[in-house]
Amino acid sequence: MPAADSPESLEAALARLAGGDANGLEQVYRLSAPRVLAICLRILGDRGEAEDVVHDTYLRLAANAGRYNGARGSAIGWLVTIARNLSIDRLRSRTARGQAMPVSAAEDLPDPAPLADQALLAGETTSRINGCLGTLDEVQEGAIRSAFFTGRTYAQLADERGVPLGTMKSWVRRGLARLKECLDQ
Amino acid sequence: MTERELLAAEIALRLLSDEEQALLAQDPKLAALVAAWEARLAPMAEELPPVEPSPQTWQRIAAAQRGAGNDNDGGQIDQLRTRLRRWQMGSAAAAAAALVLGLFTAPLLDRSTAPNLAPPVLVASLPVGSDAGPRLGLTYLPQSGDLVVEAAGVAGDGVHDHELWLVVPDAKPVSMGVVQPGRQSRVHLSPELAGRIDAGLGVVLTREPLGGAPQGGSAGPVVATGKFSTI
Repeated sequence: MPAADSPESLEAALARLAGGDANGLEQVYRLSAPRVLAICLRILGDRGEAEDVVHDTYLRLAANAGRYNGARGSAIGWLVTIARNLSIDRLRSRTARGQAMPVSAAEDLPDPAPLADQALLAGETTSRINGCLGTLDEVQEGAIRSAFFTGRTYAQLADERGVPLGTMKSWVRRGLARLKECLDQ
Repeated sequence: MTERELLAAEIALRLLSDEEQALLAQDPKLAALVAAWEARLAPMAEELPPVEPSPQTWQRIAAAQRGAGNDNDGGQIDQLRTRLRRWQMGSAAAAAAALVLGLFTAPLLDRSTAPNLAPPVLVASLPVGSDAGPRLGLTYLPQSGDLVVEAAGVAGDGVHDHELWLVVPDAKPVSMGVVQPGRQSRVHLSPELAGRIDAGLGVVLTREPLGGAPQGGSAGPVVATGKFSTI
């Protein structure tokens, strides 16, 4: 992976943007947009809508770059979070407006399980969360992954698995508690 | 792990319905826990193979950024000024304006430190029938621009429909459509309309023939009124 993809570089570009450097946004975009599009596309399953959300994500970022808090997490993580939230907003308003969900290839794909070499490339944080997810029961891990990568609610996850809502909640809650314990070690 | 931390994780994962989430998102202390969970979970996305966006996407962003100019916070500050001006006009105690600005600014900026940079959720509740009877609940979700109309306790009489209207200042009331008795429905607002929704905006419910007010005709009698407020 080229050095330009390292978090330091993205964080420096974000700092330039926050400092009022008009070129900062383009640099941030070049360094992060493919990862931002990846999460939008995974959640929305539609290329056009996913690119719309990428557009919204960077405009929102341009207005709020100064609010990034490096103590809390990586810049790419912050961008992914903004993009994921915007994607889920769009997904839910699409469903609410009664439009058919596009039958996309992505919908049918299993939620990605980490490949060893990808985890290595993505660095320590990824392998850590994946390592911790791997310590959970299969149903707990599956539910948390599905929630993260599809933006489904408890009710939707329970429906999909054909289990009562309470069962789904307890899988996820027990999984989250163990995940935190593992990450805090 | 505490109950609040679990709740924060559920919010971060977006496991709750938008309505549950919107109510909880008003709590600034919870927002910090949510942001911490968002940061913890975000690295999961790194296992997705990156996808190069089309060149048009950057061109659109660059064009929009040029349009917005360099004063990126201008919009938000203008909104705040407008709100403050409205408040001043409606109050004799203009001397307290400085204090109010302080009160308004602090929560606004606090909330904005989380990636969910949401303007406040607005709610309104209208009595249907008598004051003690069922109520129609409205929740406006600024992030998605959706108005959620909760009519779970409301029954239809089979002869009339109720139609919901937003009372936009200096314009005709805008119909939000016929209320679906016993159901929850959503109306997605146009960006122009969404830009005009604020605390204090009036809503009215009218009684109409089945199917709602005739196109181009006048609305029926007003049976209930309400106003949006922040939670």
